[in-house]
Amino acid sequence: MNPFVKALKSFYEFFTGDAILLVFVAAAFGVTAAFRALVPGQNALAVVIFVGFIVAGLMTTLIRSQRSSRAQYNKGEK
Amino acid sequence: MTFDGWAVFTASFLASSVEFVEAFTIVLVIGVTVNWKSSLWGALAGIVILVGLIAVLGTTLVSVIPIGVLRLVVGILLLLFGLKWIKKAILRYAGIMALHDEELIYERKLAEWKARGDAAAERFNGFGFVTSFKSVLLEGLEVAFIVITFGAQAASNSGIAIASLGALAALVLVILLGALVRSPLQKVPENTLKFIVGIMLTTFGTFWGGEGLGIEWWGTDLFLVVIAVFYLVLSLALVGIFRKKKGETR
Repeated sequence: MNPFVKALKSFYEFFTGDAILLVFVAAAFGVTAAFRALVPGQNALAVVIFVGFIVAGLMTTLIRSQRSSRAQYNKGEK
Repeated sequence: MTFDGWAVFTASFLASSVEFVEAFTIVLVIGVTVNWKSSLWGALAGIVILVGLIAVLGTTLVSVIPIGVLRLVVGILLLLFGLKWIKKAILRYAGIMALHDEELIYERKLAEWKARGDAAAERFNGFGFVTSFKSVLLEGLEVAFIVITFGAQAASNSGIAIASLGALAALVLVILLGALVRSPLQKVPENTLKFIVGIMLTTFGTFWGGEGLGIEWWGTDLFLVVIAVFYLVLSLALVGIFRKKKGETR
């Protein structure tokens, strides 16, 4: 593996290791920042958007983990 | 000391206490759950950089360091760490285990080493180091900001010295309290502690990340309690849901 890609992969594994969480956390910050810039003064709504993305990220990654665990279990049963 | 001096001391003491408690809590739980070596080295590295910055920049620190950007970066990293820990804790409590989980294998090895009294359990851990480091650096910088701003507002020339004494008194008090809660904390089961760490890191990440984005939390630092309770209730609800789902599918 290319040393740069290897370093990038280690960095990713260290800080997150979960693409779903990374995408949702990035979206939480990106969308909230954009919302605050476009609609200033809506503090409560900004909180809802920010926390909403975080919670959505957690739930999505949990559902994925549960599905992959079920798939592995079913494979073992066969 | 004059009335003005006492006012500066008290304000600095109270505000710094909140920041020290935040940093110290993270150092403490990382020490108990990961290991003390990594946690304390991380905290020490944070203190060294902080002292260096204060020595070089002095009171100009307030205008040079972009605290908003720092909060944003630390918030993102803590959220990523915290959510990962909450996810694992929920999966464990719900009884869902990955068949090939490298980290689980590492954790089993770590438990084996601990059981054997092997020194490997105290090996340097990057996660523990970085988490303690950034918490101490961010909170330490916030204390420096408090000391400089409160000190500069005092009528006397010794305002910054008095504000520093207030912050120092807060640090001593927090360390003493931390030493008292350390033993009972070590008796809590490891999985429960990791769950609590996940909740805490996510709470601080949400709070600091939000502040970095310009969100104003109601009641400022007191709102941390509301965020923590929210994540705790949400996580417990998710454990219940996923445990039920697992029971239905198997």
